[in-house]
Amino acid sequence: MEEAFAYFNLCTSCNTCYITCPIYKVKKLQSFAPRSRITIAGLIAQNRIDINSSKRLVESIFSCVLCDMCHNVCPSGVDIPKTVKATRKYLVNQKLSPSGVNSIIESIKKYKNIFSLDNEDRLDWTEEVENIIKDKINKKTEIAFYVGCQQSFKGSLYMMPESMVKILDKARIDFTLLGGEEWCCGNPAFLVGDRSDEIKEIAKHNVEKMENLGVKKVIMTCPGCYKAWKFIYPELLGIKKLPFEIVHSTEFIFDLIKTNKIEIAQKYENILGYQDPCDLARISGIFEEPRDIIKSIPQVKIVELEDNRQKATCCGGGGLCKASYEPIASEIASNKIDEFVNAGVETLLTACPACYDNFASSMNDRKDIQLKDIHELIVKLLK
Amino acid sequence: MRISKEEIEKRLIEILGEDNVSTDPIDLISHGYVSKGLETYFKDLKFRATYFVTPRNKEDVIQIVKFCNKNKIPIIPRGAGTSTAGQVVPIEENTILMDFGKHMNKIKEINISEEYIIVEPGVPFIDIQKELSKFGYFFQAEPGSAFYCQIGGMVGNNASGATSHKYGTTGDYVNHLEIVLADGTMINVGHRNGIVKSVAGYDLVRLFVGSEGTLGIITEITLKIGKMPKNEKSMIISFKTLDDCWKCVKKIKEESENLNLELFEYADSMTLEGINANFKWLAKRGYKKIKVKKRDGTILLKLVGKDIDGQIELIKEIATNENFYDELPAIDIFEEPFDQVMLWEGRHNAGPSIARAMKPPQDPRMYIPLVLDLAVPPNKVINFIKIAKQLSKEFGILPITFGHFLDGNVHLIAAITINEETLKNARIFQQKLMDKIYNEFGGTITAEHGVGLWKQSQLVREYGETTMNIMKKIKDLFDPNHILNPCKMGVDKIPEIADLKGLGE
Repeated sequence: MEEAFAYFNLCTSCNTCYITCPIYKVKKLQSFAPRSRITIAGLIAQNRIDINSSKRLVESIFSCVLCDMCHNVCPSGVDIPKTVKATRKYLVNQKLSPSGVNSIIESIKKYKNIFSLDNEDRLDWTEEVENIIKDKINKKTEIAFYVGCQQSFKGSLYMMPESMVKILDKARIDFTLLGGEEWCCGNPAFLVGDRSDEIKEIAKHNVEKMENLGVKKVIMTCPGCYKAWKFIYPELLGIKKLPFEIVHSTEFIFDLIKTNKIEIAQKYENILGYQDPCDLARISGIFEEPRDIIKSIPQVKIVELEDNRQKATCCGGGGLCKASYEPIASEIASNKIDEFVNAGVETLLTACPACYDNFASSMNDRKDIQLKDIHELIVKLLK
Repeated sequence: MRISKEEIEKRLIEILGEDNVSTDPIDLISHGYVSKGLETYFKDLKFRATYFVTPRNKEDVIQIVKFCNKNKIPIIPRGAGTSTAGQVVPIEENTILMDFGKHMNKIKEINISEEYIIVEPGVPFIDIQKELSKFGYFFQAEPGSAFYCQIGGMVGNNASGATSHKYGTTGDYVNHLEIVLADGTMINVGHRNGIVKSVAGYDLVRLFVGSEGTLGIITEITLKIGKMPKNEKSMIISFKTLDDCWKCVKKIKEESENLNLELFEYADSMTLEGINANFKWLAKRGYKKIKVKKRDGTILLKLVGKDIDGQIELIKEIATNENFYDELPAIDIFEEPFDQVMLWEGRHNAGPSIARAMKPPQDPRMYIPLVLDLAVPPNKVINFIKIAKQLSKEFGILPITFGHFLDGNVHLIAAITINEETLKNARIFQQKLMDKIYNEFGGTITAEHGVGLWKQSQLVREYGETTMNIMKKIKDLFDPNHILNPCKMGVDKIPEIADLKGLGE
């Protein structure tokens, strides 16, 4: 039995967790509480439930956004997300996982991206920045920009990598892109506890490509990719640390500002609010760099939600919830947007493609708030 | 003729619509939860309800209850399921679990000038506090589960906690209840406004408060509210020994007219290790690092109101008088609001935190089966703690104790390595402890957590047959068919399957 299932024994069933769970907040049923997810794992481990008898079982386990909030607040130290991932793995093996999830994982293995698209099309987003990137593909240099599937293939997110390369260009930083040789980071597979040889091969490929180009530092704009490379790859590949540094774009950009390589010269009139991405903030511990960047905008006005940083709640776009339960993800996003509006925020800033994408699909032509990616905003305000 | 399962489901769907009726095993298990400790004790039991329903309003509740009463179908009304004595555990066949968290979760009215709030049973307590704090108000009675319990469950269990010595229990603040009785009649008890006093007739409000859902189903609650204290500072006074700690407690109590103590707590070193383990985790997650000293005679206190620094000085003076103690204590003062919140959240979560300190999942040696909530007259707390610790040693049990100095309520966790023999041993230990509670202290088996499924057979020891018969008559009067939360509170048959001989053999 998976080690993760042992957490079932540690849970004292106090239910501290349910009130913090974004899924519970919209579904208002204890069946979606983290305590119930732990119970499900325990029941399966002890062979006390017929897994085919419950629709809710699959729904509860696969709707989890894996935001790690329950793990944060659990007084007993139960790693609920880890248990959820192990339970997902079991359900995938039993062929009970939702089709939306299955197709993503199959696509990663077959096409090396999450959309079942031709991986050679990974540079479609570069049309607007062709001048900057034309000699950068698979170039031997010290800094690499790993783009990630969502931003490479989803037109509505192209502005993220576009802005990132514009910032690198402005700072006169030489860099490389892997293009069609960039493979999915494997994060969606990790979210269903899949650490199979096929996924290992993908991680190995990515790492080797970077190594072959002599890369010393890899920048990622996607917190999911960042978490996968930085924390999961070494463990997965059985190495102490990767042969290069992994940085999130907000860390890198703030460094550029600090060292005067770029300067934010223009003001931004709207009151800004910042959404902490779960993978970047609570899980990876990067709270301040995005805020430091925002504070570098002259005369900026920024408003924090009552629950910020460690306590910031998920946008609903994480954990593969959206792949199977889009209405849940949208409702969480919509409530979160209301929270920002009620706090007086006029422009909501994100630093994560999943957050941006999920918020965007819940904006519904709202006039009371704008949505912007942090990279996109910074590029516009640069000197 | 008995009604079939299919007919019951069909009728429930007719009343509530498909979205509000479920027979999915995960819905049934998630809402009919038995706490982990109880599960360990009664591990061979199959706790499982048959239906799970989420009424949209009181009319739904009335219709379901009428139908159930006619067909003798058991109903368990429930809150967030944070109870620890098996209050919402289904025992009987065809049981319906009724949850209010989904629909009946609204704050209906906040009246600051008359100082009351009207709520539905499924509102999380923390939401009430958040709303009231906007007006500088709060609901005073606060259980350890304050951050996650729901108000209906709080009223049903007459919840209380660390501040009860000052503010009392939930029941002290209930002005009015709207209740659906077992035959579907709706009654109103108390006054649906801010009235402070009334001796008009029997106090039915207090009868329903703490009745654990066995007498009626609460559909609306009016609560008295109070102004939040303006200043607060917290202190930890750590003595090496329990004796020195008690000397200090007595001196502080002598000065009580000059002090405004909101919290006055006791914790032993193992409890503090649990609290520290949780703080360590939170620090790893980017929270400010807090550490408390791990000593057996520790006092945690919070002062509120006027001249707070004068109060702190007075306590410091008492705690550092060299003539009183064998050894002087370490004193830590918490002034920052954030630090104080962390400290008291840590204390509230002490029970489950101990699991973190004791047992990593890879090495499941230690397990904490049950938290007891015994109470003795407050001046005898020290004797009780000493006796409990001594008795634990004789049984090879690691005792973990914490509790509330001013109301005599001591929590005891008997931590054991789980196997059949140690469990049997723990049962005998707890029975011996109960003998002492009743024979030597005139104490109570449950100060806060309730009777539920677990502690029923002890009630007769606490009150005697005659009193218990009166309680049973009250149950019969309100619920002649025993459909409301059956097999709880000692007023019903105790099912053989549960082998519920309370804490003992």
